[in-house]
Amino acid sequence: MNFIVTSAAMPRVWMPRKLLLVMKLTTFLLIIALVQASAKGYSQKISLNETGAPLTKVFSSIKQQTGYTFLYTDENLESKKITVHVKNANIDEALKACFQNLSIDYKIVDKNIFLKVKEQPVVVNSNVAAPPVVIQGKVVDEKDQPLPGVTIRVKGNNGAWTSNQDGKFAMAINTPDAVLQFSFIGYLTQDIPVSQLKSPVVITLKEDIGKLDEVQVIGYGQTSRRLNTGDQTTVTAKEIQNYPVGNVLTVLQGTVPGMIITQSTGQAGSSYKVLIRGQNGLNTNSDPLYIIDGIPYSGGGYTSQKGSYLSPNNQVYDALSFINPLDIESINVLKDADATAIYGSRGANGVILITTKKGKAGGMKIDAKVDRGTSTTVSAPQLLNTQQYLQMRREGMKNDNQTTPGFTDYDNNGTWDTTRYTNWPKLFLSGKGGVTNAQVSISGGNNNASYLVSGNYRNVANVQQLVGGNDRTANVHFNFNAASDNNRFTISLTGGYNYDINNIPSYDLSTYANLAPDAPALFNADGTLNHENNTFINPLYQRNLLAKTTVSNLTSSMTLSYLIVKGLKLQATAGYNKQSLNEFLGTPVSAYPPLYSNPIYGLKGSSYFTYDNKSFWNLEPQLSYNAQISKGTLDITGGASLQKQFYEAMLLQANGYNSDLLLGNIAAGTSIAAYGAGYNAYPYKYNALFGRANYNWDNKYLLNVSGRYDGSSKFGQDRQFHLFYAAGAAWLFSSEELIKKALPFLSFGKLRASYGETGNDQILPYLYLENFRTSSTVYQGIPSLLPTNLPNPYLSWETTRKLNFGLELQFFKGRIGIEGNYFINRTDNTLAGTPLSTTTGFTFIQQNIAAKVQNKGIDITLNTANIQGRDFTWSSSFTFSRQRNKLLSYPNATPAITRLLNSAVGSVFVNRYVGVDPQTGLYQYLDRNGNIVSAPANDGTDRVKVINTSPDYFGSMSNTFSYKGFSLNVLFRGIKQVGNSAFGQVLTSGSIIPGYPGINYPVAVLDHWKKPGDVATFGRYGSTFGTTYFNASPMFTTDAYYGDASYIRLQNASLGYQLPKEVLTKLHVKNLKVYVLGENLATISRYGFLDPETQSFNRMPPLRTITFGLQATL
Amino acid sequence: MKIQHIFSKHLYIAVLTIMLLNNGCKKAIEVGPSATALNSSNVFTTNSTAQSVVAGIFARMAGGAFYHGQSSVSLSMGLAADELTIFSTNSSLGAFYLNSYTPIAPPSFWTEFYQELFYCNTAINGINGASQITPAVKKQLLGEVKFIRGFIYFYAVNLYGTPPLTTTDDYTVNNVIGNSTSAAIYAQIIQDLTDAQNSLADNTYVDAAGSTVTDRVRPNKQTASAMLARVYLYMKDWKNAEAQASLVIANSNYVLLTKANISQVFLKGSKETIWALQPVSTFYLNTLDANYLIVSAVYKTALQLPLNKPLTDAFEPGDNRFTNWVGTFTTTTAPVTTFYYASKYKALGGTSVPVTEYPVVMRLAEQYLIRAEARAQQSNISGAATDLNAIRLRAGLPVTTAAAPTDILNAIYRERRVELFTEWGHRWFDLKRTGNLDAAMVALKGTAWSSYRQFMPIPPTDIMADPNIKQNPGYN
Repeated sequence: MNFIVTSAAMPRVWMPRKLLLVMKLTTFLLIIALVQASAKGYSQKISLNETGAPLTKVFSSIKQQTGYTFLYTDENLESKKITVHVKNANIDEALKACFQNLSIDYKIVDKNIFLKVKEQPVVVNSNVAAPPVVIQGKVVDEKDQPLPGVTIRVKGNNGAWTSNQDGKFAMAINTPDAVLQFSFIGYLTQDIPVSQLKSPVVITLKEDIGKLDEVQVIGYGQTSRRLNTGDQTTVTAKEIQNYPVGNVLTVLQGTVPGMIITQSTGQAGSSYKVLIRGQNGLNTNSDPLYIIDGIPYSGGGYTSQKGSYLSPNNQVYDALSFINPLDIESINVLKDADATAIYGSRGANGVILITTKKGKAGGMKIDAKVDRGTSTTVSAPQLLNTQQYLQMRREGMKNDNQTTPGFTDYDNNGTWDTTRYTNWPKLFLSGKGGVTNAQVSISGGNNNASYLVSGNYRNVANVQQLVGGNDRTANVHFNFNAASDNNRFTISLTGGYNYDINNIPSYDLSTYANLAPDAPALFNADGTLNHENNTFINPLYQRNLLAKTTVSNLTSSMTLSYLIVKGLKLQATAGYNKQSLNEFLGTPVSAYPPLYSNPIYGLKGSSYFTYDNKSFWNLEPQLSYNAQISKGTLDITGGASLQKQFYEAMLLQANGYNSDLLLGNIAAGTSIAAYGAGYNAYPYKYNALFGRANYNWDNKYLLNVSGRYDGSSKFGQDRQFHLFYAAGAAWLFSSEELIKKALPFLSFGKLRASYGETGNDQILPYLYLENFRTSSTVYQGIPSLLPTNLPNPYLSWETTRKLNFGLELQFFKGRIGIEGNYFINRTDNTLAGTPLSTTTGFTFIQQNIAAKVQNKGIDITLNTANIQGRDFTWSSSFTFSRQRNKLLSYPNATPAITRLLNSAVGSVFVNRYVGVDPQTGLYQYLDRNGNIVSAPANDGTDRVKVINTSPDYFGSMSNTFSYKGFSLNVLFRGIKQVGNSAFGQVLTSGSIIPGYPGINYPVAVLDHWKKPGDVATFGRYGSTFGTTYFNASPMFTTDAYYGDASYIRLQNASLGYQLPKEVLTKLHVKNLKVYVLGENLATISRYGFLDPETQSFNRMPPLRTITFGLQATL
Repeated sequence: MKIQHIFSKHLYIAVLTIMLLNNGCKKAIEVGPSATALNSSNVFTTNSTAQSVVAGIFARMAGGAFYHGQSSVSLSMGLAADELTIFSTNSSLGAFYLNSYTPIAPPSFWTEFYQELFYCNTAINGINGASQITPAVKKQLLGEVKFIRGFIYFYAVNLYGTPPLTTTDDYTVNNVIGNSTSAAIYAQIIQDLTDAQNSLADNTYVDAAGSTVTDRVRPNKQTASAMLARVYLYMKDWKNAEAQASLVIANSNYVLLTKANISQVFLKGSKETIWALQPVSTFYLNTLDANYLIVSAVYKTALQLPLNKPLTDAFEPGDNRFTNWVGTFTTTTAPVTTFYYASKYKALGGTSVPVTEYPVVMRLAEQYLIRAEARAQQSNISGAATDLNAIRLRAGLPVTTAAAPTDILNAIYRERRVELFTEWGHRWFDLKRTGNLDAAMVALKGTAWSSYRQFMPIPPTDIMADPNIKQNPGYN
């Protein structure tokens, strides 16, 4: 082993020479630490007999004899020639003899010999002339197991070292009075002065059950759970890896108190609705701000023409689906003003900080992970069978005096075989989809440079196998860090690229689950689609639809930091994120029902092309100052933010293809035209000054003040800037001597409060002007231009003032931890559409309305370490959240809004339903005076009951067990809410009343009125327009349409087995784990036949996914 | 001390840097005008952008629900009257068929009218105030937009009775406006159409730039006259109705097609067309009406609106219009039934079919019938008969035998019914203006009919937003 050769191969990069040298030295130290164990078994006696030999030759001779390695930084040494003759000398004698005529100092450390030219000492810092103090040691846990990856830093300095795979470390410190800090996630941080360390040293880190000193990322900085004055929840990689999902929002769904996440459909490409602490405005976008490694990332969806089947709007493919969950180190959900005000105008809805995994010093580490499993739809609704269905049709016709079926009523006019029965929901929904996920990550480095590169591949096959298609994602993530020799200057570069291809055709068979059960077979004997002489629209005809959606996302971030003097740091973060969607949807002629293939329709293939690009660049210079003032620590951070975002979306349609084979070629169509919204592009600029001052008095009293002065291009000329601010304070009362004595079991207690103002500017740009937009239509060759909005030059920020009180307690050294937060958020100057009469040409004008919306609630988290044995551990975590939303005031409210005052913003007013009239079988309602009527008033004046669909309360319970190598984690989450009732969903699942041609109903409708005197849940059947129809139509606006949609879901379970050390040694791997992950495993609900989360009959519910996997570290 | 010194020095540099960065705070967030949209300050500064605004209004009409297709006035009011029947379970069309439109699901006409009226008012105000638009262009565009405004108000007043009259684009005015009287609206219609008549191209059809074209898809002076004739007829100003209709009938650009060519009346080059819309859909290159009215074995969820029996019964034997403009479809499955359907338009939708038919808004035959009626009302029986016979002879029918004033009037009404069926709600409005609606509806629909249903319900959201608007009687 020749380490000098290795060293010569170190890259000579742009760094100044001195820097390079010192880095080399550090590299050597690290390598020594890693390989010292191998330098054994040599004799200690040396014989040298050289005349005029180059030093290198002498060195290699010594090395051959003793195993000692020479380390030096001055290449000039290699050219020196010496004459030396010694016999059976020890190393010291030999070296003295070698260097007697040379001005070379040496120092022996372990099996290494460091050389230094006397006249030209290696100067790393003008203040330091002395040779560095070399410290070596090992970090272990309480069970004496080595701890790899422990961060070791010199307090007040920039850079850091890391312990290697065996927990060992070695470092050269050039300031003997320095204090070393040993920190590792999940362990208590230890500070030890260098003077107290004697090499080799063993440092034992204690497990931090209460996680008080775990690093918490906050806006423009970091702190610890102990010292944080704000309210935030951290989710780490450890939890994320237990979920077999492609979107990290699914992980947050159960684990973050105060946050509600709803998935629109189980299909790949689903959109998610994210709401942190309630709807702030009236109808402003309530998406939180997403920041990935300091750079804003556009959450929500992409513009796509697949929209109509994936989500109620055209925003699908949730952007977080393209951030590999396994690349995430931590997610911090910031909630209160103290945490979010530094994000000013975009902090109102909460901020989600995503920190990706970073390289750490240590030997090259290869982590690989592969899992594979299946997804299934949880339940298919049970609908009427053919007999029950035909009975329903007959009854409906009888009730509506329809004597013969219509000529297109193929279900019962003799055209279709009425003895057939197909369970369509089962056939369409009970498929199996595959999920494959593979990840490799390589990381390592030394104390001056570290790296991490990872790659991931994920393949999700469509659950609806009759439709087919899959969604494949590949991504790479990398991080490089470098630090100068004195650790004053650091640079960190992080990036990722994600590429996703989804070719699942744009339709969901769920919508066909209510086909008549006697509908014909899907396939002919020869395997072709059966259209039963054009009497049957075979749902599979759309199977030939073509789809290819590619999403490619680039995220990149660079941070440069320079420690000007101790305590004063200049930092700049710059980054660029680009999110792109490129979609092709093709409709070949074969995807039309055959009767449309008739030339009379002149149908030809057509294609839709969608392009959606969003790019963000961001530059944030930042200065932070840290000083000890009296018994306290002062941290000040100030900076500026310059941002430019650019949004561009284009929707095109190409028609008239002569060949279906060319559908993917936009130029092969005879006409290409803008489609739907056509083309939209706009820049969004953003500029801010921000600052924060934090004072920590003796780890007892904390005060944190932050502010941001923001400007946004979205507002009218004089309303572009605004100052947002917050103050937070905390009292660590458990640090008070009195309390320590009185309550010895209380290991930690913190009381905190914060108040501040944050904003929301999530509206479309240019609304301060009256815009005339082109539409895709042309008239006589002239393109159209029409006004799209009423202008409002006074548009400005919506502001939310947040008040938060928090109490954090830990008992018995952290074995029981409770955190409670109480918040009141009030939104004012609400950005909303003021309703207008359509006589104005519009239904609203966007204005800042002096309406006040309040969100009030509590979040509680309880963590317990129930059993902490040597082999067996059991810990639990509970969260509970309760939120109340209320419209406090609304100026010049219309009667409709006046009714809403003091109710939740999303509340609806409905008629009261009182059941089926046993005599007539018609639905009965109450008018405003409480009298039973067969139809409520048309003008809505009988709608006196208010229904609030925002959740009442929600929470989760998670238990983690470990026994030797086994670990089991089970998470339940629950929500108490009012949604669309199963009764209402049954009514709306087909047409309004059961009995119409061709539409099947859930078996629940069997409980219906048949003859006078019947007491039933559902009213009489009907088959056509008539009394029955009109009687049933107000059912959509009754209280019966709403109902309890609460549920408890076994959201996630994971079981893992870590192979024992002995086996690993034999297998030559450092770590090997096998595991099973399960998602959405069971749901307890009285909701009925639908999923209580999607609450929709014709959308695929969230999937159940179970995967088996293997994780190895090499 | 040293640290403090260094600190203050560095702080100074940092502050300076930040100040420089933010010196142009405002500048840094300037984004300039939108690259994808114009705004009110620059849209009326050139001829071409002003022409685009007007093209936008035409395109909006050609793609608009009211003008053709599923929710059009032709189909909706054809169902509401006695022209069409329905198979499908579509609830909005069903509501017309049963005359059960309610404020809960009000007809969409209202919203569409006022959106288009806002476009018209914006265009009129903008073009009037524009100094950089060429006078000739200004004259033509203003004429066209005023024509459209008059045309829309004609339908608004006939469907809603006393709708608000908006003539500005100022939302602060329009949001508190109250109902107008029908007289005030008719006065505005006459004013707009007269202005249009005075400023539109005479005896020729032009495009946006004023160049002569063959497509009759923008109104000209004769279109304004034809519309005026109709408006005067509805106002019972028989003299003016006759005068305006005569202006059109006398013009050689318009001729009734011969009996032999009756099947070509609705083709796009037809000489009978006074004004048509150019289809703007990329899928339905011809009319939307054909796709809804033609009954075929198309799958059952398609809307299918066969002719109602009172209409098919109204045809006299040997009427060429029955053979050419009415199609039949007989089912192959039991019970075997024959359906009659309107087939004035024959070209179905498709992305690559030849474009042969445009939705015709106004055509010459109506002008003959207007003049016939106006003459009959002025006791010019022979003149009335001449005009009526022009239509009857073209249909292959014998000349009218009616001689008494009421007989000839009834003959004209019946002729209107079989000539103009499923076009633009003529039947409904004729029944209404001649006072025959209640009788016809009671005969057909029995006690389900109430007289107040001759007017449509106003969307209640508008009444909530603007309490000065009163709901039509019967709908509260």
